[in-house]
Amino acid sequence: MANNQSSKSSKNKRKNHLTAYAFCAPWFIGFLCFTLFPIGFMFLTSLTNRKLNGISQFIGLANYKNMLSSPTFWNSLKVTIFFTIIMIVVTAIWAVIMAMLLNYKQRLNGIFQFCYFLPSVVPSVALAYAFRTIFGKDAGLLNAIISIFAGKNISINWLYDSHTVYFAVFFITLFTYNTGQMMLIFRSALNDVPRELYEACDLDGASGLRKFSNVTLPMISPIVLFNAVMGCTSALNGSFALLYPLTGENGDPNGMTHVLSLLVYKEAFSNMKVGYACALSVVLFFVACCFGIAIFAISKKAVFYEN
Amino acid sequence: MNKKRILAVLLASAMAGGLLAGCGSGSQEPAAAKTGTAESSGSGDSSASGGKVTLAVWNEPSADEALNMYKQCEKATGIAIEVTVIPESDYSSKLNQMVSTKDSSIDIYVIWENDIANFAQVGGIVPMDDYLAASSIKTDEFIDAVSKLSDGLGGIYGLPWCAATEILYYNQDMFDAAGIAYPDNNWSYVDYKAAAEKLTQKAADGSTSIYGSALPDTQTWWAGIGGAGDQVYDPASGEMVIGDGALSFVTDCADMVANGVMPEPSSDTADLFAAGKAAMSCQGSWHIGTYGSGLDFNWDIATIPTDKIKYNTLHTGFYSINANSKNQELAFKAIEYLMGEEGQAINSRASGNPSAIKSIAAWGAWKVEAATTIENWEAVTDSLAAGVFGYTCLPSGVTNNAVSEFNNAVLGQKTPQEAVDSAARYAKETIGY
Repeated sequence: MANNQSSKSSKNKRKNHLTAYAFCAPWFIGFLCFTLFPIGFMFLTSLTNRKLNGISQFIGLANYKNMLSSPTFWNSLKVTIFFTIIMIVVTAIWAVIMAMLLNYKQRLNGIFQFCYFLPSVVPSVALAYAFRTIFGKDAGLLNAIISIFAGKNISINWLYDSHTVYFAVFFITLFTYNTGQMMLIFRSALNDVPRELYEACDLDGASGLRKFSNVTLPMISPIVLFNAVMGCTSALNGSFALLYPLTGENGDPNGMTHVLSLLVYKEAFSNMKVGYACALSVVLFFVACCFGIAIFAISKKAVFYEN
Repeated sequence: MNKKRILAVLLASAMAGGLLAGCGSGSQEPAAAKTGTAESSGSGDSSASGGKVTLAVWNEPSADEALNMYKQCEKATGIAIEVTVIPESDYSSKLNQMVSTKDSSIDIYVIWENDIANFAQVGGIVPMDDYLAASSIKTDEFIDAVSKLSDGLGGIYGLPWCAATEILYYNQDMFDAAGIAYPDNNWSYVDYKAAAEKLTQKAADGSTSIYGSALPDTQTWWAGIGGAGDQVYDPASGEMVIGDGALSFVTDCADMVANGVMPEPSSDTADLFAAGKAAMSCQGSWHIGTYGSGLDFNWDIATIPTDKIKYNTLHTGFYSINANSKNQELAFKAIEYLMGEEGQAINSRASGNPSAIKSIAAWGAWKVEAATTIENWEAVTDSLAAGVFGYTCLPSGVTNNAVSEFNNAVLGQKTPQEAVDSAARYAKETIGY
């Protein structure tokens, strides 16, 4: 009797497990077909000289050797790392400032939030083309406005001048979906900071900056970690949609915005070197892994969890 | 629990079934006849009159039915042509992917110069020699550059739909105001530079209000470099060949930009010549049709000023037959009309581009009627005679990279020598992959 019961119960357990796996199966099949398989195919293709017309031959690590001796690749890698770090910092700081402004109890807060978030829902490509027009040299809106205030013709080549291109590009990143999303998440996190802590600070006579650095920042640090990871993903993946319309596939001026995702596109679709583009994608994959590891390593020291 | 299990199994099966259905290929077996022989009947070919073929191209056919060569082809031959327009920025890469997947949905590819050898070598398109032997297409009257392009391929894989060139556009009103004689087809590069300086107008604050010449664009950088003596493209090796000519032309352009004679490269996409902000501009001949009678000033054309040699790049597309097409015979019949006198004349009138067949080009159907101020139509025929398939035979990533480097030099971000060396190095590491 006891044996019957235990075999029935293990049968039930097995049925439950199978049912669970069956529910997970659709997602897992999709993951296999649309994520794992392409990643595996990418690794394999990076070992060939596959062209866009389908011709392919195994060449081992030749793509990686060529990459390591290419100044274009090293410039791209340097720009990618620089762009990612700065974009995370700039967008996170801006999102925190916006969230703190929205956190003030004031009238029409909802409308302010709507206005701050509205540019974020514009697709990156449309945003980039709009700003490309705004930042135009002779016919750009920004130069026209500056000229009116300056009282003379101002004609700054925002996107082609090495001194102004980064300012223009990082300014545009403030209007992307990722920044808007960060702002909303930060706002939610700021709401969860206990008021008593601020009241205690006020009693101790702490300044605003002290309150921010000793109370606000530690309390929202888990969210900062989350947004840093999201920002990193956005910078590595989403930079293409922003930079291709803005500065072209060559990352003008002088390769200063030539991130790896642009180089991958250029090699795959303009030069038809799919094998080499896959090798670049593998490098991008490892760069993303390194960023993830670095962020989590920093988070061990910098993130405060209440429990 | 049983209901849950059944539901789970049903969901998983539906998902798997949907995925398998989505992953399945819709294409049918390719036609048995892949060699393009006139005698083969290929499975699926419709009868001589009637039937439909599909064609891929990068620009929209004319909305005016009289100027729509595909509609006229249907009227004349009974063969309907379904046109698939693929955006120009993705055109070559999309066609390469279709060849790679042995796609059979498109019967006629209009392919670019840099793809013709590529597609022929992988068997993506069929040679048309046997079809042409029984056809009325005047292949012996092609311009020389077209004949040379087929050398080494082992057959004729593509027929040029037109032959667009690069020419100099100039604002006659500005030349009159400056008291400079109009350019002609013997104008030298030195004359051009001198005129550009004289035509430049500066505002009180020293900024340029009217440029003597627009900056070369993606196409006409190569006209200047080739004119300065560089080979640009070596058909024997497939390499990009630039050196002293590029250095000289890039240096000149950098100087002209520094002096305000030419505008800096920028994100502005305005056509300064059409806007009346530049007295001269070197551009493709297809802009004649674009400008028509729509400009606010009198304008005319001339050949690209001659530096060491007269040089400009020819631009065209080649009608070719997809090796996996089920309608190869019908496809050739449609091409036969499009390459015939009527088809070529309609294309010339619609696009403003001459035919690559000399006798048809001589009719002058390409002379855009709306461009009433043009008198020097010989600029187009002279350019055609001097034109070569140069940079268009190179991968676009290489040529765009080179133009980017030249613009960097013009902006002072690197020296012209560094720019030329960088462009040449990148070309070397890319071509021959």
